[in-house]
Amino acid sequence: MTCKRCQDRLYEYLDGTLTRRQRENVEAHLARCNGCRAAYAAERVFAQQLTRALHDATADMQPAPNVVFKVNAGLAGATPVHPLHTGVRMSWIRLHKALSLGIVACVILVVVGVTRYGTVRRATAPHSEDTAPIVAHNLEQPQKNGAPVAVMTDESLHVKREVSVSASAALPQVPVVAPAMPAGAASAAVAGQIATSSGARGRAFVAGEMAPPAAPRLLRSSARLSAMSERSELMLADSCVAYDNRRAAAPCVDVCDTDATVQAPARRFDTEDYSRIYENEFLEARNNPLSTFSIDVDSASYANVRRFITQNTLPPKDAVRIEEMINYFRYDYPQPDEGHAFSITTEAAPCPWNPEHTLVMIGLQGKQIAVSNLPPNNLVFLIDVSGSMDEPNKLPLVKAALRLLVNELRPQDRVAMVVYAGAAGVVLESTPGSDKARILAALEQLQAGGSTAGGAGIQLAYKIAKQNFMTGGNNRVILATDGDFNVGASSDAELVRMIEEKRGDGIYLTVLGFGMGNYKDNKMEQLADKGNGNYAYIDSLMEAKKGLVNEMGGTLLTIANDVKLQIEFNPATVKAYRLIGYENRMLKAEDFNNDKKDAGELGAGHNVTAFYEIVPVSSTQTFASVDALKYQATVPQASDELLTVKFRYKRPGETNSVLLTKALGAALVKDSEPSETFRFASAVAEFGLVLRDSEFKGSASISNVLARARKAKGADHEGYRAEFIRMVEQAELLR
Amino acid sequence: MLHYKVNVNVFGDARHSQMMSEEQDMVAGVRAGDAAAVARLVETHSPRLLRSAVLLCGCEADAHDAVQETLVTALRLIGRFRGASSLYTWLHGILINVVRHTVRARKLHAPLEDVPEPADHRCPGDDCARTDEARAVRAAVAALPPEYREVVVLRYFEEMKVDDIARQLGLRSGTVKSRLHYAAARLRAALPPEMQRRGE
Repeated sequence: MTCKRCQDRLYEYLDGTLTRRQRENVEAHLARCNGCRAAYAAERVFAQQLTRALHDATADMQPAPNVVFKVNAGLAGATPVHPLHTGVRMSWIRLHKALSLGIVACVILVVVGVTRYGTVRRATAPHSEDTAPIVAHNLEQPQKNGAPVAVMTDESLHVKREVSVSASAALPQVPVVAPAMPAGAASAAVAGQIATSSGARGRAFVAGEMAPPAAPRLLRSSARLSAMSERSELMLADSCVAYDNRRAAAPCVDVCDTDATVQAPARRFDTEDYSRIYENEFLEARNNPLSTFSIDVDSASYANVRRFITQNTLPPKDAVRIEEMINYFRYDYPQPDEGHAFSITTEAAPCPWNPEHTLVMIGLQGKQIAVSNLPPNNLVFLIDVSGSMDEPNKLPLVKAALRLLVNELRPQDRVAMVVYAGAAGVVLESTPGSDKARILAALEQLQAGGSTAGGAGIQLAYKIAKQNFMTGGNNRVILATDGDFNVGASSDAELVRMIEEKRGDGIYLTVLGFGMGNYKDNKMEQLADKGNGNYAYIDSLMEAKKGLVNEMGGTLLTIANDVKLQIEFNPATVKAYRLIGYENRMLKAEDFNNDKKDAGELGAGHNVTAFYEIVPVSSTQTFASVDALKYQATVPQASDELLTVKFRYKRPGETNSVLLTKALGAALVKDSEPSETFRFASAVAEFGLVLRDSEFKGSASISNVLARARKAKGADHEGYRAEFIRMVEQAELLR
Repeated sequence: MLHYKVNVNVFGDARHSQMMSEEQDMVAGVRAGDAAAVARLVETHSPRLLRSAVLLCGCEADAHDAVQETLVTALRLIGRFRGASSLYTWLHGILINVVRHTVRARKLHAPLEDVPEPADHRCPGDDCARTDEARAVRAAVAALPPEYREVVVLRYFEEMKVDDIARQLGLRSGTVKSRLHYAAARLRAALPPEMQRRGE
């Protein structure tokens, strides 16, 4: 054995991974070679010393105390997963640019490889013997490390398109024809292997910069890939292009992403519709003493805003519905007294973004009902299985979300399943909650494909719900869709009319929105509104769990119907007022007493919060005024109160509403620190004002939001408030 | 003499199988969405990941970010963990990728050639109260080019064998060895007084 060879075996010898024969050879050489013996001893000592030095040098590194919270926040916050994070060899690259790079790198590699290594046959037939083992060797390695190149097969998330590249499947044999994605991804894997195996820096995946200088580096350590034939190269290039074309047409999708949140190019919301929000303005109390609106427990806007920010864009202003953002969180309101459906809380304090004004908070808290005490459920899942749902963050997530719900069902509950796409069909007759296996099996079989025929599906779903109607139970259709309801222009009105009609039968509608790009926000909200239901935007499994499981009582069980608020302001103490949010929930004053007028529902355990910004009568601000009336004299009543809140709601099944009132005295405006709820909820409101760049934002600022939210975080068991804070921090960087 | 021996690949003893089944329970809990299991995973592994990260990144702020992102990624992709390696090894693999592709990508000015990062690279918030020696060690490691840092951390901090390092980093064994050789030479040159002080 030569010294060179002996020293080459140094590390393996110390590792103990030499064969017996190799070890004996080394030891024989060391016995007679001082130089090598010294080298071995030096490395042993160096290793010990360096190891200890490294441990000492890092011993004082401690994780941040709130690391668990931050991680939970990151999870729920749907930070896009970087495509290359999960294993060096598991490089299904999603980025468009990386694929172009991959194509360039592939081509350069082959060309230079041919000239340099001369082991490539120019035959057009793909290699079987030569290339397969070489390539397979690459792919085998990931298997050993426990990180399969295949897509996730987690039991709770099940991607329809499983792309598996087993050790025996040689890369060149990946088909060019559809599904183009796996092929493209495979070529991307090659590119990824090339790039990562050469140890190129991560930033190399920005197209254009890397290709020419990288080529020589790529070659040094990637000889094994040089043996690819020309034809297989062309096939890969074709599939790269095909993948690019497909990707250009659809939002960016990662087949491997188990959490199914999409990392999309920033500006791809051209097909998302948001209704214009015309903000509520300040109204003079003297001329407009009554403010009437319907409550809203939907919180989809929050999830939507979060989606934009975690993808490093600020949301469009009309996507920011402040009332929905505030209502995403649970607040510490007291439970209602015996016999009442909900409690009312009022609080007033100086307005954080305009110290001359007063901010009044009104909170409703619905009665909490233990899940076991909930009335029986008669649920019909109405699932959109049209072609547009065929993405990992849509149908697979729908299935995972509904699976969570199914697991919570009791024997007295019943579930049916209807799908619509092209045609509508019943995939599961109404089945008791005890037969979970059957329900889950039906869910499992769902596949996307076909165009959307939403109207027929809804009719069918309501029909089944009616057939299995449970008196005194919770009869509900749960619609899961990406909003792409193409039932034809004339049928939209029909659809709405039908839903309104069914509402009278006591069947409610919950709308769950998935995915983006086709997310037709206004339509879905409208459906939920008309259907006496609520809607939520599900962008991750955590959100599904929150909406469907944690809040199952609230999402599914309505305890009060047609809840309306009417606030009367006292002009003696209030000069003007402004309701923050609820712009598309405003009602006419006379609608308050009109029981035929539809309004929002309140679910068990839910709470609803609204803020009014009040200009006190002492202010010098002036507002547009109206001439005094000639034929009527308004006589103000002497009172110290700021306002009186009136509520109307109907108990489920009843047609006549119940009235409650509560007054708020001016003396109750707090000088001392407001409650934690007030501080946090107003921080969320302030953030909404900033995002909307509202003309009424006053001195609202992100730093104020952060300061207040951090202090008012409270116990925050589920980490939602921490997630909010993290989101605001991220938004700060985007401005 | 104390020697920090951290077993990355332990085989065949009862304690190992107990560790593995605890780990399996934890992973199963995480997969099921159990918040306590998630917290346990984070708390168990984040300290060691953080120490590795600070050596890989050369900077404390980046290290915290990297560990954060690693844990979030790992939890979201927990379905891919097959149990063929230990959980920590899998997490560390993710950390390597995170550092490669996220942390370094932020340093927009990084040139493409093998230019070592400046030895006095300092991030805001680095603790100045640390001992000189600790700082010298960290600086010496941080002065290495990133791909050499990786092999040094895996060999001398995580104490992995060359074959395992090669697999973890997606390199050939020969590449790993040559990088170790080069890195060791540079570190020896940068740290002789400290090293000798600790000599036997």
